[in-house]
Amino acid sequence: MAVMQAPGAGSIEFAAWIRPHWSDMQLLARRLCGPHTAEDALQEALTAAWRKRQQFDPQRGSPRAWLLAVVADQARKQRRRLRIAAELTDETLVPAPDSQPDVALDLTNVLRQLTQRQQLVISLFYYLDVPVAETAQIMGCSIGTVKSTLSDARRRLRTLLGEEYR
Amino acid sequence: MIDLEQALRADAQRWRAAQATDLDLDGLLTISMRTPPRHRRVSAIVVAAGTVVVATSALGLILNRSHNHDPNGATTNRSVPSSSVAGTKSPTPNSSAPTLLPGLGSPPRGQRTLLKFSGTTNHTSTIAASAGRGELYAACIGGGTIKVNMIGSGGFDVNCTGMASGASLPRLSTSVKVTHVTNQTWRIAVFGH
Repeated sequence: MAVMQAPGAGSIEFAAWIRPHWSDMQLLARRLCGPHTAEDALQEALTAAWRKRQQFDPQRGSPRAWLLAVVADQARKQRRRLRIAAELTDETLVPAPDSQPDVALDLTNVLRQLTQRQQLVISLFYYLDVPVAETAQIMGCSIGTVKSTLSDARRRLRTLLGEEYR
Repeated sequence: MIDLEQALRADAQRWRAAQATDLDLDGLLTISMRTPPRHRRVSAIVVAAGTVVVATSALGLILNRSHNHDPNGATTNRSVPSSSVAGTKSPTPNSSAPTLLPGLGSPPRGQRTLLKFSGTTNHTSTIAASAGRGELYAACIGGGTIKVNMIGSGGFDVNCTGMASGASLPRLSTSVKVTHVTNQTWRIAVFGH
C-alpha cells in the first residue's frame, strides 16, 4: 500500500491519510487522558488536524509523528480543561490482572506522579513503542532531550518505587 | 530486585493488549470536518441509568440539564466533575414524559453544540436541538445504529459503520428524537448556520 506523504485536500483522502495511524492515536489519547476523555481529545485532535493539514511538512517528520503531536496537544488541553487527574487513577493506568499484579499496581501509582512531559515520553516510548527519533519529532525537541527526559523519568520512577527497583 | 525497564515493557504489553481501538474514524471525522473555525465547545453527559444530562461549556458553565425518561436508559458515559454539576436535578427514571433539553438549542452561527451519549437498545432520547436554523450531524462512534427523527421535518437513520448523516434543522424549536436501535455510543453535533 502506498504511503501518503501529505494529507489530501479532500475528506476521503484525508481519512485515508489518517487511517494507518488511527490505532496509535487512540492509544496515545487513552494513555494520556483516560478512555472516556480520550474520545473528546480525539474529536478535537481530528478537528485540529483537519484545519491544520496544510501545515504538515513531510520534511520535518512522519505523518504519524505529526498526528500524535496533535493528539498529545489536545490530550493536554483536555486534561487541563476537565481536571481529570483523579480519573487517571481509576481508568488510564489500570493494571492488567494477570502476572505480577503488584508490579503493575506500583507502576500505576507512580506513573501519574511524573510530570506531564515525562508521562508523555514514557507513554510514547514504552506504551506505544515509538522510536526515540520519532518521539523527538512528536515532542518537538532533540533526540538528546528525549533521552534525558526518559532518563529523568526512570530515575524519578526508581525513587518513587523504592529500592527493589533497579 | 525488579528491573524497571523490563517492568515497564511488560506493563506496556499488557496494557496494549487490553485496549480496544475501535472508535470509528469516519464518524468522528465527519463531525470534525464540519466544525466551524470558531466554535463553542459544549458537551452533554449521560451520567447514569434514568439519567441526568448535563451540558457544559469550555468554561465549565452549566448550560442545561434534563432527565431521561427511559428506566432502561442510557448507561454511564463518563464521570462528571463535581464542580460542574451544581444545580443538577435528581433523575426521575420512572417518568414517562419525553426528554427535552429546552434551550440547549442550536448554537449561534459558526459555533457548535456537541452531544455524546451511550444508550441501550430501544432507548430513546428527544432533544430540542434547534432554537434556530442549524445543521445536525449524528455519528455512531461505537458501532450500532441509531434512528434520528426530526419531528415535523423528516429524519434519517445513522447506520452501524459510524458514518454521520447530515440534515438541516429548518426552523425554530425543531425537536430531534434519537432512538438506539442497538447498543452503542453516539454523538450528535449541531452547527449554527
